[in-house]
Amino acid sequence: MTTATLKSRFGAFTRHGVAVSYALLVVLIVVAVILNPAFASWANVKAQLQIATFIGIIAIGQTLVILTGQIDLSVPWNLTFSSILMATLYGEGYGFAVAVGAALLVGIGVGLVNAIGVAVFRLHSLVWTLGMNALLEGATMVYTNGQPPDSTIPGFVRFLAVGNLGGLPVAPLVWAVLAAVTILVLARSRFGRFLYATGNNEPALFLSGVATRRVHVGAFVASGVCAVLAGILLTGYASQTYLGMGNDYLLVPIAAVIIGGTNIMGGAGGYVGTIAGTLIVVLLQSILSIAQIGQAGKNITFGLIIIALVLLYAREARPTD
Amino acid sequence: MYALMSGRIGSRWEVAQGRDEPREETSMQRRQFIKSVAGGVAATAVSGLMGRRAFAADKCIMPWASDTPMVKREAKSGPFKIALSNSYIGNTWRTEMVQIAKAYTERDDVKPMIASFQATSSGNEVSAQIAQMNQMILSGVDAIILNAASPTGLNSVVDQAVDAGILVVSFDNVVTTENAVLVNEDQYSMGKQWADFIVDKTGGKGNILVVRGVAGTFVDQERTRAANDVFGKHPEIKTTEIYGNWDDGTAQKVTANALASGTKFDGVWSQGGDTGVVRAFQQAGMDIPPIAGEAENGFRKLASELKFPMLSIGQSPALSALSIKVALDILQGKETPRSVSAPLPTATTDTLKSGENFFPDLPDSFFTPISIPVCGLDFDVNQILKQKV
Repeated sequence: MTTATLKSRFGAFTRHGVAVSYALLVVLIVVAVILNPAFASWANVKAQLQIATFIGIIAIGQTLVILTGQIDLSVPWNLTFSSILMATLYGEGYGFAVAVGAALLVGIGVGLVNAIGVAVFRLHSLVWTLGMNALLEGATMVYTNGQPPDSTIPGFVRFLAVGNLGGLPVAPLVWAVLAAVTILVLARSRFGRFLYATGNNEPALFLSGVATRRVHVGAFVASGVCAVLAGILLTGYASQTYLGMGNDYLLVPIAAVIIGGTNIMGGAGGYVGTIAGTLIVVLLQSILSIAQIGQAGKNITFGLIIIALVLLYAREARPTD
Repeated sequence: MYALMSGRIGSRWEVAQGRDEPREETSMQRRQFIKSVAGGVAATAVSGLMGRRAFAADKCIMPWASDTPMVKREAKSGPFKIALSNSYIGNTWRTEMVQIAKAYTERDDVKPMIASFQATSSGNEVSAQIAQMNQMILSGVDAIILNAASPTGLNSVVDQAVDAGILVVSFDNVVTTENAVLVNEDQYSMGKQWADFIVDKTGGKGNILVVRGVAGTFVDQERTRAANDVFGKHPEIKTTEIYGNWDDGTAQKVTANALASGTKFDGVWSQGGDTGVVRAFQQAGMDIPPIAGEAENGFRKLASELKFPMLSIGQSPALSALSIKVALDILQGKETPRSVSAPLPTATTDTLKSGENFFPDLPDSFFTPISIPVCGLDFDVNQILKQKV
């Protein structure tokens, strides 16, 4: 593959993926408001953004990992284990910093182990991170003996999850800050460029003297930390931790990344598209609910949209020369 | 949360019996049933305990329907080797279920009947559970208590076990083979009682939020069918359906979503994730309407604190202990219905009692109905939590 085709693939994916996903988002918003004018109310916008925050933050990590051509399937139990650890430590009187610090260390540790499997043992992340997920599930069961403690949730965590700051909900603000950092890193930093390059052609990048292992470490650690952050916010939102609280957060964030135009094989896409993907996923659920479409109808609609977009993106990305 | 916990009743009986019919026939069944059980109990001659057992049996071990066949085996003398084959373990309900089973086999009046008890969880992989059951068959247990990963996938290994002379009692997620004895709660009846409560509290009119469980599961369909049958008779009731997946976090999100869309709800019929449902109302700053729901500790804690009208009925994790009890009865030659309809543990805001049917010091996700009193299955919460999973 020549540099020219690489460039054109890259460009096509970024431009068209983002444009298509934002166009779809606008259509969805219009449909929603026509179906129910109350959809445009501030209360509803806040509720939607609140729900989107959990998915959006996890999707940051997944975007970085997917750009390198990998995937992180350890999110559900990483999220659950670290949240339960945080709530337990805080309940035992260790204080906010220790509790949250320990949870973040779990996320970093999980990310490191994931990266070692992929970058050192050269195993595919599909298998390795799935194993990691099972391992963390077992660890959670041993740690809790099946009953997470009745935990008092740190006040600051509640504030982050459901608080308001000058009339604005805090959780979406947290997401906005993280999103801005992610977009900057991807567009402006060396690490960002290496992520794309790893997904496009890792051997070439390695031969040109880049420590590609560190790129994998960066992506997986970011994903591990994002899962922990989403878990902390989810704990504040639900005012509790429980076994299986992460189960909903495996495939939906990945779908958001794909709908946002990032190539599942890596190398092209970005977080700007993922934001649209996240909002599309959340709005779609909401609209189908308002329209009282049953779960089967929801699944079919979801599947059709993903298939249609992937086909569309693949066409757009076909090399022209 | 407990997406994988819930039961599925064998299709055979449910088709044959027409479960929509009112429960009047039950009292008749019960009389017939007492007669047949009384004979069986007399034959087993469990000295001393006999009177109490016969009394307990008439309300506890109820046949699923009037035409439920009875099973009777040649009486064996204990103690017996019992094995519990569980599939998924990663949620609170399953954990408690295993803990209660262990606590039951260690009880003073049960322990002499138990030569060994082992509980193993295989995960949701059907092939893994088949392998696990094969091990149990090889090790020559007397009875296998089964919470199945699939309603049909384990039928052949259950048949093999029965061929080898092993009694199989299937509960919660039950199997469809006629060779297994079934123990479960009637999900249709549960859904109907919830709906009757909401009709009663709302005067049969208004907007009702229907929070469903995991789409495509038997339990969700049965409970919702009952709700629609009841609500369908009241033209002034308008229902809005959402799916909470029996998970607090998911139920909270979809309820918040429904509330934000502007409808004012006069009642909620929810089959799980109810703690999240209440919290969504709280967070939206709305008054909490009458809610009929499952039996999570958080739901009952919030009802006790906020005093909204609540009906709470849940799938009891003590179904495992009831299944062991049924197995011990049958092994000792007692005639027993092949499909047992377990009592529905019920609480309302007025009957809530701290430390008895809800537990302020335990997590929201804890499942409260740990005891089935009419069956003599009373458990102390601390004793259960001490058990290793």
